[in-house]
Amino acid sequence: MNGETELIIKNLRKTFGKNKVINGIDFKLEEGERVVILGPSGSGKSTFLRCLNWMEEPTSGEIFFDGQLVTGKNIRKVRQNIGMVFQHFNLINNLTVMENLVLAPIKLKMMKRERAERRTKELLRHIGLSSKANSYPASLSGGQKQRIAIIRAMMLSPEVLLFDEPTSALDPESIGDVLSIIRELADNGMTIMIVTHEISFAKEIASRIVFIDKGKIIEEGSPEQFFSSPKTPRVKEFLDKVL
Amino acid sequence: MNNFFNKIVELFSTPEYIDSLLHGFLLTMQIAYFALLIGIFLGTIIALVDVAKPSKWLAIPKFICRIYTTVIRGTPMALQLFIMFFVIFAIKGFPSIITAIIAFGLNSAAYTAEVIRGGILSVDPGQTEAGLALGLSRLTIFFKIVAPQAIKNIIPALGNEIITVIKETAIVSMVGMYDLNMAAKDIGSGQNMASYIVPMFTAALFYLATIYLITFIVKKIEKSLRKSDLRAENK
Amino acid sequence: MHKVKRTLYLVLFLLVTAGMGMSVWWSINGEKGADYIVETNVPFAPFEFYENREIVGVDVDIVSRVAEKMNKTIQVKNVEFDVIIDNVEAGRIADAGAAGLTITPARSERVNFTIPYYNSVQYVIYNQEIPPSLRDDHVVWEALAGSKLGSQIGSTGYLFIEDEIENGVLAGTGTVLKGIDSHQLAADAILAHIIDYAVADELAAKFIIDKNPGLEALPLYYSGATREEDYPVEESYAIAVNRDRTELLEAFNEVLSEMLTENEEGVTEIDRLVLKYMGLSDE
Repeated sequence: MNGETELIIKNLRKTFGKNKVINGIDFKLEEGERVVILGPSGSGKSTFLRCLNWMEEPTSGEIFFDGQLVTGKNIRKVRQNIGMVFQHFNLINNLTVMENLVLAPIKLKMMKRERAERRTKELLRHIGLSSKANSYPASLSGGQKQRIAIIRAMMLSPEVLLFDEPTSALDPESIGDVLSIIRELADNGMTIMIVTHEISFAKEIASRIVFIDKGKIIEEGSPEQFFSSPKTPRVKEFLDKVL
Repeated sequence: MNNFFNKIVELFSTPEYIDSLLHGFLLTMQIAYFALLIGIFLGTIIALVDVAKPSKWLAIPKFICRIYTTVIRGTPMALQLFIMFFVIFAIKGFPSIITAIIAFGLNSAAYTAEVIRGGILSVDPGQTEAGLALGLSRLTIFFKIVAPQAIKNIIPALGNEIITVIKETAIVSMVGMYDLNMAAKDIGSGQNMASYIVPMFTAALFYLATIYLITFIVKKIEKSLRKSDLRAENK
Repeated sequence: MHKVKRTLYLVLFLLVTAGMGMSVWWSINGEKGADYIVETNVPFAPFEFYENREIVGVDVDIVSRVAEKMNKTIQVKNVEFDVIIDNVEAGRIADAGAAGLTITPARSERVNFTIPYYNSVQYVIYNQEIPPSLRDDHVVWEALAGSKLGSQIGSTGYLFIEDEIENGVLAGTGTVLKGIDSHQLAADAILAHIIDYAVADELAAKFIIDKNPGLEALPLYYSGATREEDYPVEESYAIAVNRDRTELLEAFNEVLSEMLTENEEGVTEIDRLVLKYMGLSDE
């Protein structure tokens, strides 16, 4: 944790029609941080995460990445440095696992095909899915898909990884596999932001917990402080329900 | 019934009749083929304009495309054909086959546009998001991710459109063109046949055989495109 | 492997397209370049019908005589019967119409007609087994009351029936008129019991009953005070010419008056052609 600031968010707002989902969030993400975002469903936590790499274009507010204001012009460069893992994996259905993984590095001219394929094979071996290199996503289980989606995001060596409920669509036995990969990334010093419902995992991995409700950050702090002595009644109420 | 049978034998054993039917069939296929080419080309453009992200540059093209598909799909083909022949291309010596190709091409474009639009929209938005999150350009996302998946949804419906156009061209006999339908009328009104029933029946067999062949080819294409799904079934 | 296949399909597609394109080009080249265009409606034997994809018949022969006389090329084009008068009046895509057109006052206001070249009587075509009530050798309008009638849309037979139903002897009798694509199809419709009787021009009717053993036809008459005073539903055919094409009109009139001149045996050229195309002479 050498303390360099990755992301600065200033007064972020997002509305869908008349529906105000994010109501002014200020936030900072330092390098090496592992931020877990908690909150009741419909609180706007996923939308907040999706605003960071403009999956949802913010209605107002500013996002700085590496000190640069994120705009429509530089968003593609920014996205190459902020990887994202989705709830529903979103592997490209018409491409094999191998092609899914090498597509971006080759198209973005970051690697030659041979190098990209070599790297893919290494990563697949690492997660134990070497045999699936030429399979199509439709033939994989949810857990396998999500593990591949994670290494797909890693192919571009991003500075930050965003996880949007990465285990919500998985059956219980494959959740562990996915979480262990995330844990490994965290141990290697990856900067991570994750929206999840896995409270015990959050406790274990987080360096900071952020609680969002009604589109605002209600409370944030270290996991010990957050879980043992929450400051606000809203968080107490939430924790009573989930723990 | 005996009479019917005799006339069928007569029709198939008279080279002039078969020749007439083949000539009519050629015109039917000429019109349908080029109309479909125009339809697919123009329909793709219309569909792309329609599904493109709204912007001020596209506001007017989008509006025009919407009006176009609404008008074409909302009026009968026979009427469009008449307007083409007797209003827009009412130019002496203008080849009627070109008029017919344009009329059917413009008509087919509206339907094809809907088919393609539907195919593109039926691709899971998550697929596009995955591409965006990787920092890929919209163009790359379209050609590498969305289009290949959309085509799988488009092919069966496009097959239907091909069949529809082939059969619908039969109305060009209304403007005096010698297509398969007119060939049947010609034979039927000739001195020896003097009945529409048998030649019409024979022309129907021609249409049926063609459409059966096209259905077969489309099914084949569908199957090869479904490759990435089939492996899932074999799991 | 994949690439080879794709290239193969592309080549196949281009070949098919080129082949189709050439065939279209061919048919276009065969079609254009005539000085005048005369519209007709096929089939209406013996005046115009297809024979091995060529339009032939009395009207076509008249047109080719005119072309010869004027030393011009004239193309005979098959279109929907209903649009012929419209197109000739507009004069943009057609100069004349030769389709066994009956001279009517309404049509005369819009186009010029040549001298009449054929007088026709309307005939009723019926199923032999279910004849209408006959008056000796003819049928009167009254006998058709309450039945389902059919005729080629826009033809004079059709217009006559419409007149009678609206304000003639068939008014209020529940008589139904069905417009049918052609006289031939109207005949088929009788055998299929879709209509009871069809009304068509004499020659068309005779042509049809000759080929369909189950059908019979008799002339249609207006009833007079007595049976002897009944008089036929008659009409005269002429060629419609656009108002601005006076040279064409004159040429048609010259040709027609030649063709209507009787020879030593009292037979005109037109009569001879009618018999020929009816298949009733040896020619």
